[in-house]
Amino acid sequence: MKIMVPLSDMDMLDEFCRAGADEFYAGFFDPAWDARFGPFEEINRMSSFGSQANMPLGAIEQVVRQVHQRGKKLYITLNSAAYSTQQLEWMGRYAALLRSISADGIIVGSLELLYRLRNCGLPLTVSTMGGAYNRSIVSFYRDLGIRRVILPRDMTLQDIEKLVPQFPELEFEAFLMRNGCKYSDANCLAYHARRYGSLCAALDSGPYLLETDGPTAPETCREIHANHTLFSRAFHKQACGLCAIDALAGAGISSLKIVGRADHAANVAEDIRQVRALLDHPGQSKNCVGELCLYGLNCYYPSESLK
Amino acid sequence: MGCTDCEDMIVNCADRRFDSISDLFRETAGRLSVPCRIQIGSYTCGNYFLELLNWMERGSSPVRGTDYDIVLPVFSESQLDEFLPRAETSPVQAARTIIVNDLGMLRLFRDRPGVRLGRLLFRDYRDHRYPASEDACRLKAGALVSSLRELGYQIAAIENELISANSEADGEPGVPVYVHFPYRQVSYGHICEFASIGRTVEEKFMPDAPCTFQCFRTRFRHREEYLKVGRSIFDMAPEQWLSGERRKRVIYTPRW
Repeated sequence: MKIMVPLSDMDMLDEFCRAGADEFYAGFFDPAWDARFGPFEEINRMSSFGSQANMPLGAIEQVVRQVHQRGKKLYITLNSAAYSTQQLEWMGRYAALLRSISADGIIVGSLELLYRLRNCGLPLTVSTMGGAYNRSIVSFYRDLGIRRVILPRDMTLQDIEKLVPQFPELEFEAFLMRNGCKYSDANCLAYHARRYGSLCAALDSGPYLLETDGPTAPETCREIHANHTLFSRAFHKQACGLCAIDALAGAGISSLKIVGRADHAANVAEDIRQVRALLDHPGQSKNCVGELCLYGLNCYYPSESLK
Repeated sequence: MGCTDCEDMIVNCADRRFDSISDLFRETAGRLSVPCRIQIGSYTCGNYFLELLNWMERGSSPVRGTDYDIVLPVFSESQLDEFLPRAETSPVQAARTIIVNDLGMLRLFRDRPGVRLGRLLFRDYRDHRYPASEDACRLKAGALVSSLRELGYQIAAIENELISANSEADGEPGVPVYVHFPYRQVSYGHICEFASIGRTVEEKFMPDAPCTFQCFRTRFRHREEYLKVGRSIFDMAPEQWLSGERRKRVIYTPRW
C-alpha cells in the first residue's frame, strides 16, 4: 500500500519524502476564479482556507516537476460538492492545464465534474465527497471510467472488506490519519471557512435542548447527556486507523490517506513516519495501541480496535 | 402555513415513527387545507428504511389505501445486501414515485419512470451563518441534471432547497423542482449519535450501527436555529422564505 499525503507547503516536500510518503495531493487557489465567482464558490472543499491549504495556481507546474523529480506522484483536488455550468467551463480549462504539465490525476467530488472531465486525458479519482458508500454507487462511477475511489471516512472496515474485492479493476484509497469527521464529507453542506469554523464544532460547543417524546426517566436523560458529551467533546478530536493497517491491506486497499492540508506540517510528517513503520513491518498493526485510542473514540475503524 | 397556490404539496413523513405516520399525515393535510400527497421512507438512515419495509411487509402499512412516494436512503454496503433482494417487493414497487438520494439507486431504478432526485443529491452549500452566501451562490442543479440526462437517465423532478436563490447564472434545471419546508437539510452522516445511547464507550459511534430507533424518542434543538434528528442536522426556514417560485411545489415536513 502507498501512503497518500497532503502537500500545501513545498518546504515540507523533502521531509515528507524522507518520512515515507509515496504520493501527494494538493489544491490550488486562483484569484481569477475568486474575481469571477466570488468568495463563497469553491474550487475544492478547502478553498476557504486559502493559502493555508492551497498553493497558487501559477506554482503548480513547478510543484509537479519537483514531486516527479523525487519519483513521486501528485494528484490535484477539484472536489467541491457541486459546480455550476459556468464553473464547469473553468474546470475544463484547469484540467487542460493540469494535463499539459503532467499532473498524475485529478480528484473530483461531483458527478457533473466527473462527467465533464471523463475524457480529459488524466486519471480521475472519486473524492470522499463522492460518497461511495456501496457497490451500486461505485458501479456508477466505474461506468464513467474513473481509476480510483477514495472511500468515505464514515464507513466500517467490514463494509470496506466486502466492497473493495468486487472491483479489482479499480484502486481504493482509505482514510487513515488525522481529522475525523462526525458527518459525511459528501453531504455536509455548511461552509468550513475559518470565520465560524465547521458547523458541527459550533453546535458541539453551544447550548442545546434535549427533546424527548413522552416522559423520560432521569437516569435515561443522564445517559443521553453523557452520550452527547462524549460525542461532542471527545469523539474524533483526532482520528487514527493505525491498528487497521493490516486489515486494510488484506481488503485490497491501494493507498492510505493522511489528511490535513491545513494542519501543522511537522505533525503530518510524524504521522507519515508511524504509518511507514507499520507498513514496513506487516502483521504488527494490531498491536498498535497508543494514547490516541481513548476507548476507540478516535478510531477511524473502531471495530478493529475492539478485537 | 398558507399555500393555496401550490401546484403540488407533499407531506413528508419520512424518518417518522412508523405508528405515527397515518395520524401525522391526516392531521397535517387537514391543517394545510390543500390537496396533499404523502411520502414515506428515509433521507438519512438505512436501518430505518429496512425496518419500515419489515413493518409494511408484515401488513402494517402506515399508508393503507393511499398513494405514496417512497424515499430511498444511502445504504451502506451491508444494508444494500438486505435491500437489493427486496427492491422489487411491493412496498417499493407500489410507490407512486421513487425518490433516490444517491447515484447507485438512480442506476438501479434507471428503467423506472417517474424517479425524483432527492435532496441529498443537490449539494449546493447552505449556511445561514454566512447570510451573504445565499445570494452569492449560484444554483447548480442544472449542471447535474443535464449531465445525468446526457448519460441517458430520465429525471422526473428534483428536490432543491436553494431554488431561485440566484438561478440566472445557471439557468433552470429544466425539470420540476420541489422545495423542502421548513426543515432544510444542512448535514448528514453515517454515524448516529442516538444509536449509541446505552452502549458501552468502546461500542459507541460506529458507522451504520444497528440501533433500537432511539431517534424516535430523542432529538436535540440548538438555539431554535438547528434541529438534530437521527443522523441529520436541519436548519429551519422562516415562513417568508416560502415565496415566489418556492411555493410551487412544496415538500412539507410536519414539526418535530
